[in-house]
Parts: sequence; structure tokens; C-alpha cells
Amino acid sequence: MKPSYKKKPQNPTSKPLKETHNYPYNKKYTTTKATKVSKENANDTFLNVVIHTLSLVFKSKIKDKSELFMFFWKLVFLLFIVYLAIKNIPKIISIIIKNNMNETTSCNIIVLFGNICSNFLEPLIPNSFIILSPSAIFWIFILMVSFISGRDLDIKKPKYISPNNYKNKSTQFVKLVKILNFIFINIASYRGIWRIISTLVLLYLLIIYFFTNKIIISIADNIIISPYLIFGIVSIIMFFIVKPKKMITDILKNIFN
Amino acid sequence: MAREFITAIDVANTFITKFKNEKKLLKHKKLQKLVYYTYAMCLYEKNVPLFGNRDNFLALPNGPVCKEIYDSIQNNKKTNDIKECLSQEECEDLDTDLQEDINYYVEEIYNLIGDWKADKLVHLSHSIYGAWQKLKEYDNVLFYLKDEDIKEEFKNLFVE
Repeated sequence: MKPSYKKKPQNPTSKPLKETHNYPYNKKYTTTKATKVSKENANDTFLNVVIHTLSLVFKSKIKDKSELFMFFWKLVFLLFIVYLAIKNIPKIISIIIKNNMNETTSCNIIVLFGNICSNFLEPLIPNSFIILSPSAIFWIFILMVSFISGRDLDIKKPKYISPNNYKNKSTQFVKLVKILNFIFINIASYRGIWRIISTLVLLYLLIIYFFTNKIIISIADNIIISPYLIFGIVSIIMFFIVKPKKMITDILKNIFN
Repeated sequence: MAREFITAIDVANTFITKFKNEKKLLKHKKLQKLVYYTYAMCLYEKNVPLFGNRDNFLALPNGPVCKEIYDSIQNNKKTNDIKECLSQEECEDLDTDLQEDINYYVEEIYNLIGDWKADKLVHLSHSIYGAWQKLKEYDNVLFYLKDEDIKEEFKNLFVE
């Protein structure tokens, strides 16, 4: 594309400027300071480029080296959580299967674990750091669960849970909770079309987290947090109903082994 | 009728011609920095931009970059000669007085930092005095450098 010139109205440079210059060229400028600055800066250039690129990509304010190091510490922290999750989820799932727990409980355990992770980590995470927002951790966690449980481990996949299976007659509120539970548990169990849709939705949300501005993220946060609470409440209720004391102790033993 | 406003391409072409006459190599990165400091010098001396009105320079990882020149070169990447990338024909109709203004600033900048390597110029533009670094101080992450900061940078780096 060739640059197209537009007639600019009253451009200040349209008047000749040369009358005010002193010819031959005066030597009022020096490069002494510039040379010094350039030499000093040569060592920091790589860091500067990294800082600048990260601040552009993540739209966060990383101003200097210390903030860059903080950024990497947080990244290491995130990776540590991911590592823990990868290490422990297969164990948890295998314990669930060994103990013959039903599918609802197993899904709820996964959801509860994600919920605990995100809620307890929230105070530790500054708002400016988008990549480590609790919701992001939660969704990364769920994504990992889906891939690990679906692919790497030869485990029995959870079945669909139809709302009709709930035999108890209930109020409208409980019905609503059950329907929501049905929807989200089916998402968490990642079967068939649910798996594809939820994975796409989650990927979309993750992309929003990484590449968009804060306003959109706050909207996405609100969308994600409401199912959170439902997840949490439902999963806690399920725990009390099923009373899987043995299973919890087994899980804890395995995690801290 | 002669054109009565300057564009970034005019300044770039003047630099290219200058380097060609001197039989020196001029790469894209260096050209961008030279045009940037030419613009800064004019801002410092006259308090008016040499070309464009505002938002002329983007903050990219390698320092300030003039979008007009960048686009022109990126869109014609097949040729190795920078001069062919920029549309010389359209620049020829520039008013002679304005061309002399450009020549003045180009000569000044050439005498100052014309011998510097591209990397050295990149290091200079990354300095804490630079508009590129100051961009991070603002609340919103801007991509365009502010004219006041560019002027301040020139003053801090080249004026005794």
C-alpha cells in the first residue's frame, strides 16, 4: 500500500522554518550524554524489551525489573499449582473409583477442589496480575482434569445425570439448584458434545483473560463466579450427604505423601 | 502545485539519499531511529512537529517506530532496497523551502548520530530519559509516544 497524502489544514510546518536556523550548522548539540546513556542502557536492553513486550501483551503495568521478577515469581507459583494438580488429580480419581463413589460425588470433589484452590488463593493474588486470577486458575484446573481424566487414565467416564433421577419432590429453589447441578456436572464430566462445547467455551474465556482489557475480564469474572457459588454449595451439600470420610482421609494422605 | 506539508516518507527519503551519496549502509531499524530523532529535534527547536499532527511514533519492542515508514516498507518486502519501498515519485513534488527545512534537520542529525550503529540507537531510545520508557508511567498502556516526551528526551540526551 502506498502512503496516501492528505492535504492537512494549517499544518504548522507548511511555513518555511529555515530562516531561523544559523547556517553553517551550529554545534549546540553534543552526543556526550547520549553516548554514555546508550552504553549504560546496552546491558538493560534485553530486560527492557521483555518488560515492554509483557506489558503490551498482558496490558499490565510492569514498569521495572523488580516488577518483572514479581511477574516471574507469580508465573512460577502458577506452574507449581499446575504441577500439584497434575500430580494429584489422577490419584484422587483413582481413589474415588476404588471407593466406588458415584459419579456425582466424583465430579463434585473435582469442582470443590477447584473452588477451594481459587477461593483460598484469591487474597494472595493482586488484581493487576490477570494471568493468575482465581477464575483463570479454576478453568485451567478444570481443563486439565478433563484432559487427564479423558485421555491419559483408563478410567470409567462418569455418566450423564438426568434431573429426572432425582426422586425427591422438592421446592422450586431446590429444583433450580438441581438443574444447575445437572448442567454443570455434565460440563465437568466432559462427555460427548458437552466436552466439546465446554472446552471451546473455556478456551474462549481463557483467551479473553490473556488478551483483552480489564473491563471484559471483569464481566467474564462475574459470569464465572456465579456458577462457582452454586458449585461450592452443591458440592459441600453432597459431601455431607455422602459422608465420604474414608475417602477424604485417603485423598489427604495421598496428597501429602 | 507544490505540496506544502511534510510527511515521514520525505524525511526518510532524504536520509536514504544522504546515505547513498555518502556510500554508507542504511538499514530499516537505523532509518526509523534517525527519523525519530529528526522529529524530536524539530519539536525541541520549533515546538511544532516536523510531519504529521500527532501519534506519529509507535512504541514497539525495538524502540519508537514511525508507522507510515514501517507500513510502507512492510508492504513492499520483496525488494531489498529500502528506497524502492518508499514511494519516491510522490515525494518529488514537495515545496523547495520545506525540502530545505528537512535537509537542515537531516544534516544536523546525520552529524550527531549518523555514524552510530542501529543497536546503539536502539539502546539510546530505551533509556530512562526516553519517551519509550515514559509510556509505562501512564495509567493506560498507550502505543503512541507523546510529543512532549519526545521533546524532553531530545533535550535530556543532546542538549548541553
